[in-house]
Amino acid sequence: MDKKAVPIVILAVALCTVVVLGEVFTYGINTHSFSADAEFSSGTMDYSVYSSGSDTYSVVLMQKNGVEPIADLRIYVNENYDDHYSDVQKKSKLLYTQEQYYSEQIQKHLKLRGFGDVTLVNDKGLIDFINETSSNPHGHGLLVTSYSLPSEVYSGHDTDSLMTWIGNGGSLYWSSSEIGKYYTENKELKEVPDNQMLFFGRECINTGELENATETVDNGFRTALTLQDSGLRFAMNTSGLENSLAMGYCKDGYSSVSFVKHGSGMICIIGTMTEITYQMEDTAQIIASGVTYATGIIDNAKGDVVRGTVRGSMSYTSVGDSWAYIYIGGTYTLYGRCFSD
Amino acid sequence: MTELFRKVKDAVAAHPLLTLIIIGTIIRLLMIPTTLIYDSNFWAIVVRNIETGNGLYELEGYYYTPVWGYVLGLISAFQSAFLNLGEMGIRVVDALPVEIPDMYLTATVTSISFLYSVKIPLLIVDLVTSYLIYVLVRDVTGDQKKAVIAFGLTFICPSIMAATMGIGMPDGISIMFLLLTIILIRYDQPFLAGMCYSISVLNKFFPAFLFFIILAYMISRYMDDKKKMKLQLLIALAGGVVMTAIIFLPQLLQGDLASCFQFLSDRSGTDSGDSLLQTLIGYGRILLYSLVIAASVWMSYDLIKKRSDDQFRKFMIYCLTTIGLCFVYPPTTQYLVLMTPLVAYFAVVESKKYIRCWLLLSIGGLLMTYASTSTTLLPLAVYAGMFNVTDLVNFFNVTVEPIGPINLFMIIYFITAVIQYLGIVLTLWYIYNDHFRKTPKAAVNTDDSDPEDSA
Repeated sequence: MDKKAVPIVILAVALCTVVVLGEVFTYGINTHSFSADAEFSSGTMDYSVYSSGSDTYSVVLMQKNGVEPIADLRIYVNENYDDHYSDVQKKSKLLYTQEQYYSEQIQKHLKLRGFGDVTLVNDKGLIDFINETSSNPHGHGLLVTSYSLPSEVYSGHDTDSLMTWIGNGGSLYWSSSEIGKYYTENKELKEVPDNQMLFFGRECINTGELENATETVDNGFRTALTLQDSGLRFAMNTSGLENSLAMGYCKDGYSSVSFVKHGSGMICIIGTMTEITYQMEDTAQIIASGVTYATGIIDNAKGDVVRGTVRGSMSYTSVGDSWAYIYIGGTYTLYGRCFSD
Repeated sequence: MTELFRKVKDAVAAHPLLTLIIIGTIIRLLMIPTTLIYDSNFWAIVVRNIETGNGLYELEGYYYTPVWGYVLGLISAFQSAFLNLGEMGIRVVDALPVEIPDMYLTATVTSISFLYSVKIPLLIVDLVTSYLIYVLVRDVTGDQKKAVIAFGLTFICPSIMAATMGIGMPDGISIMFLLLTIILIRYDQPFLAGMCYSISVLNKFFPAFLFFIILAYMISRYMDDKKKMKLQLLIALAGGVVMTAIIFLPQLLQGDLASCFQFLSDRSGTDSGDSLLQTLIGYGRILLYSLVIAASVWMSYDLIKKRSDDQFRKFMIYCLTTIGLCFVYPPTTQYLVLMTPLVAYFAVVESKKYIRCWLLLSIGGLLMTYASTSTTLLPLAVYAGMFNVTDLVNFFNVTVEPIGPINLFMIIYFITAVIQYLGIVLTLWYIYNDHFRKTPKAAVNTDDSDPEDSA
């Protein structure tokens, strides 16, 4: 080898090694590990948070106020989403959603937050799920990111199986389009004229020009859960609605995340924005944390955990009605777990 | 004071390379906190995704081929083992008005410490790239002074600084490994050259357009010894295949290779969710790139069939031509990191007139990157309190205030993009004028020699 080549060869080998080493750390050796624990006893919750690296953590102690969070979730994947997308897009500010991919992403984000019971369902799966759980849907959740539902579960009437399911205690999470505006029957798209009245008894969904929030809902949930989605497309205005809870970001009364009681169940509307990562993160965060329309924050702590364990405690009075959501990573949440009293 | 000035002057004269390194490093370190936060936010997301054990593609956030992701993986491991960066970024409510759809701006502001942890490796990449230009110029010209000037034109290049420090884009990795490829071929190290070329392409895709040119240069280089030629090509190919297999190994094992190439459909604008205009632009780009490949095949044929005494020079001309043609479709500044060091090389080795191209690329690229200056200052406002976030947002609002169908930001962006584009056009014009319109012989104004010859 030419003597002049030696430093270049060494440099090339070193730089190739750096890339391969990076690959090993990305896929081979997982140097990162996290855990959290919480114990409730006589009005005190003791928690511990561990990280093998340096991370920020949050502990949110919440009160259920008698409403249990969901234990499992179905995500509806509209396999015929592309068929009518253009038609709906012409009539609204709909953003294209890659249904399967988006749903899988939500599933993964939920999993790292400790919410593992998630199933993706197509038309048939959705119909079966609604019918099977309709008599007692408490604890079951359904996430819809499609602009329409099959007529077998929803056709714009309060007697539809979906409406019955919610009324009996099911939790419906809706994002990425105006709730209940369309259904499909024999592959034909049909519009529901009074969809908002049907779900909320009033017109309260943003279908206009309003796209992004510029303010925050100051009730502590945004900072406690590090909510990020500031999109207000198809978001809800909960002003004046009983048994409702708004959180996140807002403008002109519309908030990025809204919960409202419906019968014995609940509807949650998640605002839509062009940057889907924020929408995904928030969808996962609010579902995994178990927030409902009745939830109240008892206490919230944040801090850094650096290659070790951090311990702390919080006091509460609502014995038997409290739970904690502990997550690590803050804006870039990489771990989360719920603990119940 | 005069004595101190004289000492400094003497030190600079005695150690010009060191002086350039110090100046370039200081400027870069100062530039790091001023950043296009949109991209740095995604680097934080990728670091998070890696830390969750989801690799690069399982969770949304990484859209390129794996190389830069692996570098982020190494950075992530280093952060975890040795640093305490706190939260990598936060959502800044006062900055929410900057989130105008399709402007690629975000109110999630990454922390200054995170920016340093990600961009210092890119600083090293810039330094190595500049060193490689230095080595190449020194080898080709045998002139140390020219080599130092080429180093300076690369390391103190404003647009390269803007792309790597301002935007935080890893395109520098591609040119670094491409230059290594070229030098290693000159040094008869085909296996490593193949490995480096593989990394260069799998970091950002543009060096792939040079495949035929590099292949033709290798063939022409050993034309007189067919056996050696075949051996060299096979070894280079083996190096490329081995490194490609190593890089894609995790995705191959997971059966998810397609995820590495998301950017091809995302950037081509041919997804079903795209508008008609986006789709047309996407197909236009595909057409242009097809023409670039056709041109590179023709140049490769020419390299083999019409060998000249200055074959390496011809090779470099064809490299710059191909890359320049790729950027006929107007690029953003970071893509030009692949082209600008080659223009610096031409300015020193070929003709001083290429300095004009370098200047246009540098000024245009720098100004284009900082067209939205107020948002690039957000990390300093949020974490260092050097500015008021509301003031910056108010200033931003002024720049996006509609003036008829356009706004001030669009005007600044357009003007700077035109300046930058003129740099590309002028480079192609000079090359065309000097090397395609005239006979190559007539344009010779440098000594082309193999490294052994210049030793």
